[in-house]
Amino acid sequence: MKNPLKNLFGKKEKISEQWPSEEKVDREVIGQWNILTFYSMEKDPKRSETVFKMIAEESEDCTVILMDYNQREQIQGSENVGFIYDAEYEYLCRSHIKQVITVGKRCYDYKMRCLLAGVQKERINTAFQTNDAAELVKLSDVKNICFVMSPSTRFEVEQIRTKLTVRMKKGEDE
Amino acid sequence: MIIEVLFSELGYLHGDIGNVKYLKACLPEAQFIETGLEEEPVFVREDVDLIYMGGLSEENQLKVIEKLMPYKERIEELINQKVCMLFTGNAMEVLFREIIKGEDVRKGLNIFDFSAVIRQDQAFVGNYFGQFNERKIVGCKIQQAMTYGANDYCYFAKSIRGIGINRSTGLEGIRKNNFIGTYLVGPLLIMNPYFTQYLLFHMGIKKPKLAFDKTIIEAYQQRVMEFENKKTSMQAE
Repeated sequence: MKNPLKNLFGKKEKISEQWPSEEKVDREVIGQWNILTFYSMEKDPKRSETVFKMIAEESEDCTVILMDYNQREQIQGSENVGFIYDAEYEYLCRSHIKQVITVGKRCYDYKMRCLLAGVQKERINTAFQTNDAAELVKLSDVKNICFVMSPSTRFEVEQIRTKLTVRMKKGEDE
Repeated sequence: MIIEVLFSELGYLHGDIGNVKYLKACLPEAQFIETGLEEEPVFVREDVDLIYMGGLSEENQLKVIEKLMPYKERIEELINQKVCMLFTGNAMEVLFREIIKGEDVRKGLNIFDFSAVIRQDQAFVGNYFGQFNERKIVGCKIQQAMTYGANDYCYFAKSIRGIGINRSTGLEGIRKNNFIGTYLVGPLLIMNPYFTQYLLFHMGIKKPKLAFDKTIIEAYQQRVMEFENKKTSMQAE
């Protein structure tokens, strides 16, 4: 797969053109699991909140992988993620959400937000290294894996999905 | 313990409400009073342990100035009595002599002799890394106004990286007794556990206990490490 970040750095506007203007979810079935990819947006609390609401309305037990940050700032800067306090993370407290994985350099900030929202600490995992996220998913506990993605984290999400798909096909944790 | 949160219904900007959420987690027994714009502030008649106000839109700043003007002397009295006050984002500007935007000069409460000058082409968006009482302060700025006035002896933090109240000073914010005003936005108290302990101590808690202390310190240490790295850009594009 081509790295979309290369496009992002070079032709930023082209990527945002392709990004859906409203919340959207892609669904893919792999064996007994569903991978749901939600199109969110960095620094857009309203959109994050709508996505969380959509996840809260799903009925199957799930893992949520939070990746609606700005990947570019993960590399070059230190992202201001204050916007997460303007979104209702309380939706992630629903009982069918068995696990929340916070990913990237701001994983501890996202974890704090989840804790303050009331998500049980036992349900939160942090993956400082993006690559570790796939291994953290407790496949035996859930039916759905929900990615919350921003335009700039598409490539990282795809990497995690690929690793996760390998695990699923092996029937791991069945 | 009483914490008065001023005018949060106006919608604090840039995640400043995170500070209130965190204080509630740290102080589950405390009474939080969220005073609306149509109400008389509690601090007018009662003792409070902390007054908090977050960043506001320019329009709402004017409403707040009008609302607080009759209580100017009371606010000065409370500052002199060393009551804790934390004003984040542009909230402290309401206590300035004036806020200037083009030809428009908006009079503030004039508790602090500073002028905030709003110029879109001068706005600063980025990070802040400074020192407060021997501890590192980390934060983010979305600073629409540059403030002018002498804060050499009454600043909140001294910059290591990033700008202060304007682009030509490294001295950030204003501090008088236990009043702290800062342009740092967002969940300042969550981003700075040691500053939060300091604040709680001055609010009268002898052994302040931070909520989710392990995670908050991990997040703080990660950000300090990033800000200490000269390769980390401090100004957003």
